[in-house]
Amino acid sequence: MDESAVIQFKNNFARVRAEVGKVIVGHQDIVDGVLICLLSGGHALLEGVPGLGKTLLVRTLSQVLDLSFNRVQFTPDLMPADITGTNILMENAEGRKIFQFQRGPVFAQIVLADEINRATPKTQSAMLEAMQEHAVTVAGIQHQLEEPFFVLATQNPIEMEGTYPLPEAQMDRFLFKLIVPSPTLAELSAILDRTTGTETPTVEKVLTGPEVMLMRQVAREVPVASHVREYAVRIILATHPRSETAPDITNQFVRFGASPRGAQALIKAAKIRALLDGRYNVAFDDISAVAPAALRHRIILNFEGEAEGIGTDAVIREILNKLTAQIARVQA
Amino acid sequence: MATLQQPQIQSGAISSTLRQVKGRLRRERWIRQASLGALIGVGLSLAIVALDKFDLVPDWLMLEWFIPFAILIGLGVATITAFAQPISTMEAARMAEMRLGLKERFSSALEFERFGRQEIDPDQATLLHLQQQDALAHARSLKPSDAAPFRLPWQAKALIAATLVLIAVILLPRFPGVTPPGLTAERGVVQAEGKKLEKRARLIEKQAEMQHLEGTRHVAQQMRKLGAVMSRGHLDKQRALKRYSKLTQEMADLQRKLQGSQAAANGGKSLSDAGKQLEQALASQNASGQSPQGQSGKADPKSAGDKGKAGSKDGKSGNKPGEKDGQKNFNVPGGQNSQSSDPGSLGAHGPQTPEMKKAVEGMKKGDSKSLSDQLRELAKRTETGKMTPQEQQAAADDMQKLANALEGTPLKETQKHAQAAEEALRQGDKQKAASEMKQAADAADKEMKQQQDAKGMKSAQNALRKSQGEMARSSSASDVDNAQSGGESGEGSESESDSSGDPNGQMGGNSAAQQSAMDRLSQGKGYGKGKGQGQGQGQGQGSEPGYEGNGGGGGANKAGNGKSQAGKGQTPSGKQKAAKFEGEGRKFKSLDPNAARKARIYLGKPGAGKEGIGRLGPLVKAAPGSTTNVQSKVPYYDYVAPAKQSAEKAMDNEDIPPAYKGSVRKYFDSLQGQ
Repeated sequence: MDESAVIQFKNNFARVRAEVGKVIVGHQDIVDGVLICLLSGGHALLEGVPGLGKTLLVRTLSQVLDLSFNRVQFTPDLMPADITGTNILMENAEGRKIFQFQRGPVFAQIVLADEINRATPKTQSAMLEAMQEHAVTVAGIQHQLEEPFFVLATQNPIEMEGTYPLPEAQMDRFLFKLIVPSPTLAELSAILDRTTGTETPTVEKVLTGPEVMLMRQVAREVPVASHVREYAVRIILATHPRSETAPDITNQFVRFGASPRGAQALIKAAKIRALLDGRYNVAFDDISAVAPAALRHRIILNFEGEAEGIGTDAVIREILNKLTAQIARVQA
Repeated sequence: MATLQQPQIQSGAISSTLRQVKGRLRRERWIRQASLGALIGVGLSLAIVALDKFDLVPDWLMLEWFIPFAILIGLGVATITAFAQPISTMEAARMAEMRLGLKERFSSALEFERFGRQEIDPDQATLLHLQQQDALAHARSLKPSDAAPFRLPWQAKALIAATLVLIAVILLPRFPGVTPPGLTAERGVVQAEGKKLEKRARLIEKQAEMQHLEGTRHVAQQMRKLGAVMSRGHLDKQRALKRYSKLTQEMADLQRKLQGSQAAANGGKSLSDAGKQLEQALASQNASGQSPQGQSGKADPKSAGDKGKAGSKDGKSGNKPGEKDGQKNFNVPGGQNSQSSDPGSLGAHGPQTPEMKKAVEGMKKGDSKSLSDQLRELAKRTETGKMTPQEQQAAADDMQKLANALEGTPLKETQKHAQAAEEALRQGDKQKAASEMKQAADAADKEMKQQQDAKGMKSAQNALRKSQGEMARSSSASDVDNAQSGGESGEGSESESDSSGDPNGQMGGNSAAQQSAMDRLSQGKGYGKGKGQGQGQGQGQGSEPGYEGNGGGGGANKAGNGKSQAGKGQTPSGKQKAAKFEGEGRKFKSLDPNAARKARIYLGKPGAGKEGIGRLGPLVKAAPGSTTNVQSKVPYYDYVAPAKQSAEKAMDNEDIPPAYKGSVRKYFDSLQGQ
């Protein structure tokens, strides 16, 4: 790897962003977040009310990337085998009956798990191995998934009837949980322009799988100074109630803090952000910028926090404020 | 794996830039901390200055030194602290990053230096190199002044403000126009008087040190401190007078303690008086050829001592007929003491011991050392047993006479041991007698030392009063100035000037009236002021040397024509106006029965009339205008007793200068005689 790879990284990223931007109006942070998840080898959970373009974003991304794409619509009657695939009895050329593995929709490079919280926990769990191991085991045989493997799940936060909240273990597998906001006035106007006319925007494939893999490698090589790493660790520790660095809000409203996977997510995502910013070192700002998306689904509030309506974002914001103030005080 | 070569990392350039930033940051920190240290010093100084206004600062704390000292100490400690905490290059890097938004470029580069000395992944090496290049580029474009610009920290701003306040607090009162000229003059007077007092106190202290008079030295030190405080110019007159009063009171207490309550109450019999009395006793013994009393051992010396005092104040008691106590009336022929005469002892005893004879000579001169020496000699002789029974008897008699003579003197312990020695001698216990004599000698030394101390203290007290008087007199001039300029007001009592001006310039300050006025002044009650002219000649019948009567027509020392009333204040009580002096100085009528008690005695010298400035005590206002042809309707003898009692009390309280106590007594004695 040489300097050109780093330059190529930035260019590729910019190209993908530009292509997605042809279809998706606004949501720049969401697009960046999804791309960061893709390039850091994680998965993204998009949460938002219906009609905000979550599915469109994923579909567009799959079109921009020259990667295989499958969509799974999660419903309560969906079974794990419907996702992973199953062995079916087949007759071979010699006339003998054999079991042959029929691949499920998870066997794609980009998988859209639409409305993932509508499936039962059993079915949701079918995604666990795929997301973590990038493999699927059926009837004792493990089937590797093609790299880059990237899951994009969506969920609707308002329809609670007939939904099954994702288990904590499942949530922890997602690198980012991105909250898709409602479009602004200008964005909505642009959306109407683009979608109610006769012209349908088309996108080109700008990135192949190997290129994505190379970009992942470049991102991983970004060095992190010890004090920056320590900052990430302190953030994670501050999410744990009764830890030394925990602010009052954590002690009062948090039941469980973020796991070490959360710290990994912080560093991985921060590296990509540093590269995108034209730097070759991770800064405190990078960590702080990715912290909400990386940690909001890993912090579990206690009953008091739920009752008070304290969001995990508020907890993270408070932690960041406290640590930033500490750093400023020490340096002054 | 590949090794990242050291030359690839050009962190030297980064470090060089950061060194400059470091220097500026160190200066910035020093300014901040030094300002804080000095600010604390200034704050402390302000607090001390404020406390000084309320007279709560101890005398040893000299503001002229304390303020710069506190500021310098604060500055010094802060400077040391600032330089004791070095700023590392990493700290400088992080500071610069934070201030300029450089996103941890420098700090990361500095840390990544260590990767240059170990094997690392080639891909990572590429990124490290790129990172170094990036940091270097930013370091080159960095201006140290941008990273650490010169800014006045809040500590420095607060220091400037606090210093200005301190300067204003200290200097403003000295600016003309800010402080009334009267107050400035008053402070000047206090300052000048403080210097004088300090000088006097030094002298007294030196003398006390030479004579090993601890009490005197102590009060002299107190005086010196007071003088020092005054000479600094921080005390106004009121506070100075308050200090004077307090110190005077302390001195009086100490003096009373040293002299003993009885001696103080009696006015004290001197050693020389005792010597003369002893000489008389010994002489009469020689003349009559008998011991004064009790040689037979029948008379009880203790009871004799209890029944009467040897030597009354006027020294006449020894001559009064009909006294029951033979011990006192040793020279009264045919008195009770004749009953105790022992013809058998005539001629058998020596008239007196030689030691006692020598002691008498010394005592007459006020020399207690000769007494103690001779007592020791006698003890020695008694102890060795070389005494004949006659000599022993003579020694017992001498001891008894000595004890009698010492009664009323401050040598109480000596007297007690002399009596004990006498008893022991009569009982034939020579060892005990010798021991008591030695103890008597020691007690004499000790008690005389205390007396000397008390005397020294008295002189110190006089010096203090003199100083107080001078200050009061000097400051009264400024009061007049104030009054003329209309700048003075107060609730002071009415007062009037009289002709008590002292040509010698010494009397005014010692007068009870002035003392009283000063006391009132020190209590914040204000004072009257005025200026009068008088030419009294002391022609009145009632005038006594050292007194000033109040009468018209030149009947007393006070010449009425010079009276003027300058005080603006009102007498707190109408009673104080009640006493009305009139006529010939001795007769006065009072509208208030208590007025006599409150009457103050104006001291002055007859014929000392000249233009003078003075003030009266606040309690009595002499009847204005002509007091001639006004007769008192109340017999004076109704008031002499309470007035005398009041005067005694005043003397006990040391309100009347010691030099005038005798005259006061004489005055009342003369009144009683009429």
